[in-house]
This record gives sequence, C-alpha cells and structure tokens, in this order.
Amino acid sequence: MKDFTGKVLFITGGASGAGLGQAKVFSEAGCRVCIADIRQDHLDEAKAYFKEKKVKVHTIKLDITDRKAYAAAADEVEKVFGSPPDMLFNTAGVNAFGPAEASTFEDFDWVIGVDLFGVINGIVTFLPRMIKAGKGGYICAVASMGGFMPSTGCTPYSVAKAGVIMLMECYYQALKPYGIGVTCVCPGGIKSNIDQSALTRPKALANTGYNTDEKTMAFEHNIYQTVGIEPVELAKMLKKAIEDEQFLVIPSPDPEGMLRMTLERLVNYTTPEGMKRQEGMMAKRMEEMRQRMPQGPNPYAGAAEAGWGAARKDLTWVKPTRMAGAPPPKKEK
Amino acid sequence: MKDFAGKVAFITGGASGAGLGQAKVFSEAGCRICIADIRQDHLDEAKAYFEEKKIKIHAIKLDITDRKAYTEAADEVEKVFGSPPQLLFNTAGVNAFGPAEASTFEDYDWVMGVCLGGVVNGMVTFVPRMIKAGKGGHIATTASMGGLMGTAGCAPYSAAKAAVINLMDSYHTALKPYGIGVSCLCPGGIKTNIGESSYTRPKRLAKSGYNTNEKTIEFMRHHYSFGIDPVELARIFKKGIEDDVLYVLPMPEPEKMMENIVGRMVNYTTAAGMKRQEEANKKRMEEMMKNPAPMMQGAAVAGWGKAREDLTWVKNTGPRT
Repeated sequence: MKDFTGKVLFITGGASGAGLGQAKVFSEAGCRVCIADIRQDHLDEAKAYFKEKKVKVHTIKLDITDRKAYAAAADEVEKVFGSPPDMLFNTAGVNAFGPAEASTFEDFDWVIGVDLFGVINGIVTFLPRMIKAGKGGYICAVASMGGFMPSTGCTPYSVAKAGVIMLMECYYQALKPYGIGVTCVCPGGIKSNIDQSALTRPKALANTGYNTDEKTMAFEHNIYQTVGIEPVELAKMLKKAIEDEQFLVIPSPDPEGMLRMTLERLVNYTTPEGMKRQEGMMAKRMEEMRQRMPQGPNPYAGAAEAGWGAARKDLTWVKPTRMAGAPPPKKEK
Repeated sequence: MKDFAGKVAFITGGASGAGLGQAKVFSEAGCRICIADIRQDHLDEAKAYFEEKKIKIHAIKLDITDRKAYTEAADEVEKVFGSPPQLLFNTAGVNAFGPAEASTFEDYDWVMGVCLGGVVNGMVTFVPRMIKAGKGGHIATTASMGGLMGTAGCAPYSAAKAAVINLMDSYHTALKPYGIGVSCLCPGGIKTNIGESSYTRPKRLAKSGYNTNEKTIEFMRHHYSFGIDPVELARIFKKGIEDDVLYVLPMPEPEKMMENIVGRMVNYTTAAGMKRQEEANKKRMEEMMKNPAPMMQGAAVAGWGKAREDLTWVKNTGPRT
C-alpha cells in the first residue's frame, strides 16, 4: 500500500504509546483515524492533542478482550466513516513480569487474553467486513522481539507474542488474494505506558504469581523510557514497511543480522552438540547485548531492590536467584 | 534425564496416537505410567492393550481444558503413585483445517484452548507440585512443525503451536535451577486419529468457519496414515530427552531443517529478502504441483481445507497446507 489518503485506519491502544505514535504518523499521511483504547484518561488526552493540531480523529473506549464491544465498535466505525476500516492496527498490549514457574492461570489468561486473543478478536471482527467491502487494505500487529525469544521473566507475554507472529504469517499468506497486506512489528522496548498495564487488569484475573506494586511499576517505567524506541519513530518504520509490503519490522540498523542472531538458538537447540554450543554462545550474546545498551546507568540495575521480576512473596518454593526478564545488571563502580 | 526406572509419567492424550506410543515406549523403559485422555473408548482400548501385555498403567478420563478436573487428576496421581509425576508429557492436541480468513472465534477458542491452553493448564497444575517434590524431572511437550511455519490452512493450530514452542523454550531456562529438563517435539504428520478430533469438539464451540464433515474426516484418516509411527516417534523423543535436547525434530537433518525455518523469518525483515522468499516459495509450490504427495490425494474431492459453504465471500483457492 502506497497511498494512505482518505484510508480509514482503526488503531487499538491508539490513545497512548505505540498506538498514539501510529495515529500521529498515519493521520499526517492522510488516513482518517479511529483510535480505540481501554483507558478513558488516555483517550481524553489524545483527543485534546489532535484537537489542538486540528486533526480530526474518532475515539472509542474499547476493551479488546470484549468481543461484543468489539463488534459494536466495528458497527460504529462503519456508521461514522461510511465503511469498514481499510487498515487495522492491532497495537494494544499488556505485560506482567515474574518467574515463569510462579505464573498463575490468571497471569496467562490476562496477558494471552489481551496480547494474543485481542489480536484474534480484531481480525475475526474486522477481516470479513474488510473482505466483503472489496477494497483491499492492510492489517498490522505490534508483536515484539520477545516473541522470537524465550523469556523466563515474562513468559505469558513472549508466548502470546510468538503466537501473534505466527498468526500474522498465516494471514500474510491467506490474504494475498484479497489485496490485503500484512505486517508484524517486532520492537524491543517502546517508550510507552505498558508499565502501567497492571492498572487495567480486570479484578476477575487479579490473582497473580508475580510481585507487582508501585515500586516495580516505577522501576519498569524507567526501563522502557531508557531503552525504548520513540513511538513516532517506530510508526514511521511501520509506514515504510507497509509501503514496501514487508512482513516483518525489526527496528534495528541490521534487521537480518539481529533476527538471525536471535533465532540461531533454534538451530542449536536441535542437537546435543548444538545445545552445548548454545550455552557458550549465551554468555557471548549477553555481553554483546550489554554493549549495545544505551550509555549511562544500566536501567536494569536495582531490579532486586525494587522487587521487579520477583515472585509473589508467599511463593516460597520459587528460587529467588534469577533477575527475571532482564539481563544481569552490570557490576557498577 | 537418563534413567526412567520407577519414574511416574503423566501423558495427556495418552490413550491413542502419539501419546499411546509414548506410553508403550516409556513403560518399557521402566516408567510408571498414568495416561489421561478425553475419549473413554480410547482409554478402554489402551487399558485392554496394556492388561494383555501385563503392564500396569493408571488411566484417567480428562479434558485438559477443564482446570478443576486437571487439579483433581493431579491429586489422583499423587494418591495412586505417592508423588507428583517426574515426567509430564503434554501430548493431547486437536486440529481443524480451513482458510485462515474463514476462522470463527470458536475455531480459535477450541484449537487454542486445547493446543495452547491445555499445555498451560498442564504446566500451571504440575510444575509447582514437581518443584515442591524436589526430585527434578522432565517436561516433554508435543508441538508441531506447524508451529515453526505459518500456514494459511490451519491458522489457529499454527499460532497455538508457535506459542507452545515459545512456552517450552521459556520453561527450559526457567526450570534448570530445579533440575527439571524440558524437551519439545516438533513432528510433521503422525499416524494418529487427530483427523477425528472434531468428534471431541464441545457443543458450545461448534460454530466453525471450516468445511468439516465425514468426507473431510475420512480424507484426514488417509492423510495421517502417511505420518510417522507413534512408537518410532516416541523412541526419537526418548533419545532427545536422554540427551536433554530442547527441540526434537524427527528428521534426518534437524539443523538444516531449522536453518530453513530461520532463514524464512530472516528474509521477511527486508524488502530484498521478501523477494528472495517469494521466489523460494514459488519454486517449492511448483515442485509440489509437479509431484503431488500421495497423502494429499483426494483432498479437493473431499472438500478438505475449504470454508463453510455459506461463507461465499471466501475465495476458493483450493486446499492449503
């Protein structure tokens, strides 16, 4: 897709972070934007922002795990814009950090419910409408590099994102005959509010095996603000990929090298000799990763003190040795 | 894990197909086996089989998507065997075929509920018990090559299996400090009755966007009869578990196979790579058309892989695998 003029674009999680960045970049490119978000305060802020810029956007308060509400949102889009969206960006996501083995059913249900089933809900809701409209279009999902990597510290998240990447590959192949392109964005971190996602966790799924409180949220916020990519910058990369009809977006100067390095373990993990090779490789890769980290204080230092990535305190059978979700902090001094 | 003697092994989907193959191989290796299965007829058949061989196994009727029942099954294991399992085989799986774009919520809920949710349920139910027992162990999950390559003809299955592969990769690292190993089997087709899995699909999730009927099920019986033998597959898996290999690919050159899979993803990251990949795909498709696999014979006539007939907006592009 090269021309965005007049295209109707529906963005989940569009009122802040990565989604807001997309709303900015694609409204500028000529899209008529509808942002959906679970947080009313963010919707209000986004509305005020675009009003000031004299850009017309439509906003809908939406919990993407609510299929009935999603269908109602799709009806609203058709009523307001006169057609289903030409473009669907599945951007909303949540995360929760803690040891894999401490994960509860509710940790999986919540994170997989939003990050994987939220995308499924978007596609099952909108895709038949888009195909029937017969105008082609584009579907994107914001997955994560985490979907290409195992994670001991945010397992439901990496599992959900791996599912999303595969889901999008299936649709990438399936939708070609309809003129609907598919792109999957796989960033590292984004300067977003994902650290606040616990605030939107439903009461019914509150039972977590992880240690999550004000301190861990503040700690996490600092990580994303330090290592994360600017949402507008990421959205520009997505725009380029859509123009080129490129399936994967890896925000790196060397996307091929980056992904190959990430996935080499899959090859190594298939043989006993490779398993050994991989052990040695891990230490090397970790060092390379540390060197690529931004200058200044290591944002992961102090994770233990903040209790970030730890299990819920009463789960005494969980070994406390690991800094879940983060490379070990640099020895400072 | 090298020594299986006396180890308690819990196998989901253990009464037929891949799971039954594992029950045979690992009981022979000395494991004390508990098979869990959703189908009572298969449980009865398996019980009769092992009884005749004078092998003691315990059988539990279990729907792995039912968490309460799963907890009760775990309690039963501890009561019968005196401890939680040291070996957990997440083997039960279902599949449904049809165009990705025709998929309903219920297609996703059912296939992902069993193939992903069922494995999550096994992990959340048993891992804390295994850790607390302090005896180490091994978790052996059956995923699929389908989880490594996206296919337009069974999107819910591919997505679920990709998620499971990541889940196992994650637990593989997480459970090392506890002496619990993790292996993930990624076969192509297996000689099983996965083609009959729609028989176990719950009524409340019956609404499918796919064409599924006795004809398509009959085709799948034919299709999967070309799959790998479950006992042979279980032996390969056993070797992988002994060697502590994470991804067990039952093929002669697993590294080369995985190189291809990784190469495809890498190609997807640049415009030039996309072109390379498209050409490779086209070539592969032409090869396939030139030499149609016997296992695909009769797919079109059976209407296999098609959308439900009333979904007239779905383009009929033929069976996709």
